Amino acid sequence: MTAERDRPPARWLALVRALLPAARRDEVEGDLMEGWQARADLSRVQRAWAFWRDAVSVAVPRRRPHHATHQGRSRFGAFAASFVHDIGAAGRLLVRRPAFSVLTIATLAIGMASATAVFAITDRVLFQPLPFPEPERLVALSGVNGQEIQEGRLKRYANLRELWSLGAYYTGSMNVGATEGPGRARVASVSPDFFAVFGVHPTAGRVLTPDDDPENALAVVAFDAWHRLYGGRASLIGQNIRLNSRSYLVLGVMPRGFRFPDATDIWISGMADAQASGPRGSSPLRKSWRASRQEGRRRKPQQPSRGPTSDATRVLNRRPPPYPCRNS
Amino acid sequence: MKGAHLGEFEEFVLLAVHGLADEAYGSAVQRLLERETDRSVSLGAVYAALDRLEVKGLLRSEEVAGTPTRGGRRRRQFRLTSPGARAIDTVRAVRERLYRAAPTGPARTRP
Repeated sequence: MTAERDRPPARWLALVRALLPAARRDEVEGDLMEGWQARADLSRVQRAWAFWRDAVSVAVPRRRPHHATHQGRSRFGAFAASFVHDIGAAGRLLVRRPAFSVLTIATLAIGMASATAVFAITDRVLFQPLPFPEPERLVALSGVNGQEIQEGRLKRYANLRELWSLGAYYTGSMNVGATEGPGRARVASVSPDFFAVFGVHPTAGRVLTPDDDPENALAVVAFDAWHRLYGGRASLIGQNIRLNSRSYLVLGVMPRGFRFPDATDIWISGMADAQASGPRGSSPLRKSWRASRQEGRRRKPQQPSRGPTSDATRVLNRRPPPYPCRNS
Repeated sequence: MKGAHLGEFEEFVLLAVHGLADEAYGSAVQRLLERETDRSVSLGAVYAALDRLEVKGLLRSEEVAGTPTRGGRRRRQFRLTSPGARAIDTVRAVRERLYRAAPTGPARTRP
């Protein structure tokens, strides 16, 4: 093989040319070709290693040479050369001391991960407002130690002067016969004025109202579940969906972000209205699963900050409990 | 420029340019140093040293037309300047004085 033909692969040379400033291309390329020929007695792998060692050492110099920052470069070009130089220096240091590098990278990774986690939690809990209007007027009522509130007491709570509206719910999960295939969904069985408590308006369709017959099987779907389970079809509203083999009429879709309580996918009717005088509705969740039940209540606006607790205590003490043996 | 002090590698490169005379350019200097010092020397290190020596005024360079082995690509040829020649003399004188001050015979660690 003649010296003229024994050259490094043309693609390698083209890549090296692209990495070099125009003023130095001929000189470096010629030197690389001579170096390649001078190592004809080495194996192919050794020649390739030597070629790339030389090419990288020129393209990413250890010390910032004068030609890299001044000759024939714009201000941005000089900055880019300096940046590439710094990256190269960092890379060489990392390769030279691998144990130290692994330790440093692991420390940085753990630090960044923990900072991100803390920020995410802090942001969600402290800075991001709840996805409801006037969240400062919302209060949650639950039994002692988070136990359920007996349904018999709902009506009495509805009479508290400081509370404006009252919604109640059970949570659980149900089988869904969805467009994308069957699955499980987190379902909340809610009272008709549940949505009025939060003041959140649906993205499409409507929500449950006290005018709806609690015996009807009605459903409202969360935004995420609308896309995940039903492909985001607008025609879903007004259709029936199947939950645990029972058919529910879809009234509407809630806006993105509203998934109260417990990341709910679907809200269904079935809990009696606290103020309703008629027969109470039946909740499939209550029958089938051990479910928690809480009430979200909205205080009346412009109330003194005495809080509902004192009022609740006063009302409960004044009125005789309907089931004295349970309330003793 | 950090004064006229010469590092060890710079000294080697300066001597290589001196020894190669009209054939002193990047790849030739690299090959000579690898052969004579039995070290792995990267082309980038040679260029960096040549650039520094030129900035210090010990070398000067000119573009020369390339040979067929380089695919006709031009090369940057280096020559010693008179300060460069003086620097070599100074380094040699320093080393000779130090060798004279040291005990004769092969170097050994002292007990």
